[in-house]
Formats: sequence, C-alpha cells, structure tokens
Amino acid sequence: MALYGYLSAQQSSRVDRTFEFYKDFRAADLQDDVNLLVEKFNGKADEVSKFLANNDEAGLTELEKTLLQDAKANAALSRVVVFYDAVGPCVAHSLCDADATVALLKFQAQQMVSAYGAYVVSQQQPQSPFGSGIFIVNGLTAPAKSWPWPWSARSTN
Amino acid sequence: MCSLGRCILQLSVAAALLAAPVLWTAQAHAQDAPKPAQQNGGTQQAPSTKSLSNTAPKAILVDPCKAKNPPSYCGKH
Repeated sequence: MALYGYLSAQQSSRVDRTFEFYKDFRAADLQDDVNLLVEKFNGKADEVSKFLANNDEAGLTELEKTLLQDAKANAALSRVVVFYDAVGPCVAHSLCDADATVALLKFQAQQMVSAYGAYVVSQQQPQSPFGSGIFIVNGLTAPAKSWPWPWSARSTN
Repeated sequence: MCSLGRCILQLSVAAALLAAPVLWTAQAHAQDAPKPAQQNGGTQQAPSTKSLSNTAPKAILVDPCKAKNPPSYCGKH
C-alpha cells in the first residue's frame, strides 16, 4: 500500500511537471510562434509539394533556410526549439510524464519537425544537445495504458 | 450510573473527540478548494484580446513527414 502511494505520488509529480511546461508554453505565447512558422511554411506549400515529389531533401532544406531568413520567424523557431530542449530531456529521463506530454505538447512539436526539421538538424552540433528535445517529443507514441507502473513505461526511442 | 455533572463532562469530551477529525477534514478540504479570483488585488489576469482564430493551433497543409518518401529527419528521435 505504501509502495502504491509512493508510485502514485511520483506519477502525479511527473504529470504536474509536464503541466507546468504546458502552462509555460501558453504563458510565453509560443503558440503564436508556432502559428507564425506554420503560416510561413503553408505559404510555400506548392514548392514543398514539388520538392517532395522529386524526393529533393536538399531543396526542402534550402526552402526552410529561406523562410527563416526572416528575423521574426527565426527568433520564433529559436524560442520553440529552446523550449522543447527542456521538455525533451525531462520526458526522456522520466522526470515528466510521457502521456501528458503527448496530450499537451506533441502536436506543436510534430508541426515544427515536419516543417523545419531539416533546418534544426542543420544547426545541430555533434556534442551539443541543441535541437534534440523537439525530436524527442515528436518521437513519443500514443498514450500507453501502463499507469502507474513506471517500469513498464514506453521508451522514447 | 454517574452523577449529572460527570455525565455531562463525559458527553462533552466524547463530542469533542468526534468533532475534531470532522473539523480537521473540513479544513483540509477548504485549503484544497480552488481560491476565488481576487477582485482588486492586481494579480487577476486581464482578459485576452486575442481571437480564437489567432490562438488556435494551426496545422501545416503539406506534411513532409507524411509523404511517400519522408525526409530523413522525420525518423529522428
């Protein structure tokens, strides 16, 4: 009974921590940043389709770089990436709840990885964790029904 | 049998012992209950001026990661 209580408290703490991140996301107007970046990307939807049809990943990367020459968009992406660099390790190390992260923060990460993933990868350095968090959150799968047993929690890989 | 005074005293002690946990629980519930918004404390958030269309999450129209041959970064974790 005491063990159950301990595990429940741990789980509750993970969910609370994740919700704090979500509150930060809303408070910092990061949704506005994501929306701005999505709108810019959607403005080039035709070009994106052509690159995809030709399997031209380099062309897609160049297009993303062009979109991010706009200082406002670049700053927006930086804020979003830095935010997810805190969320990603938190969930990867089971300090945050993965299911709550999927429910609250995955959609936006997915949008950003799809639209600007090539650019983020191009900015990563070999020994730096910069830009890895957004890929961790994007890689999370649908909620598992394993609560409250942390040892059966799914992998983030 | 007990004298009237002693009986009253015993009843009072018993009632106090029964009431204490109830009051303690009620107090704990009151502390857990959400606090009402402060009226003039200056900490109440101003109502947002943003419209729903501005705040609602937007989705990309063409998703490279859902393409037939998705770029390599889509599988990165």
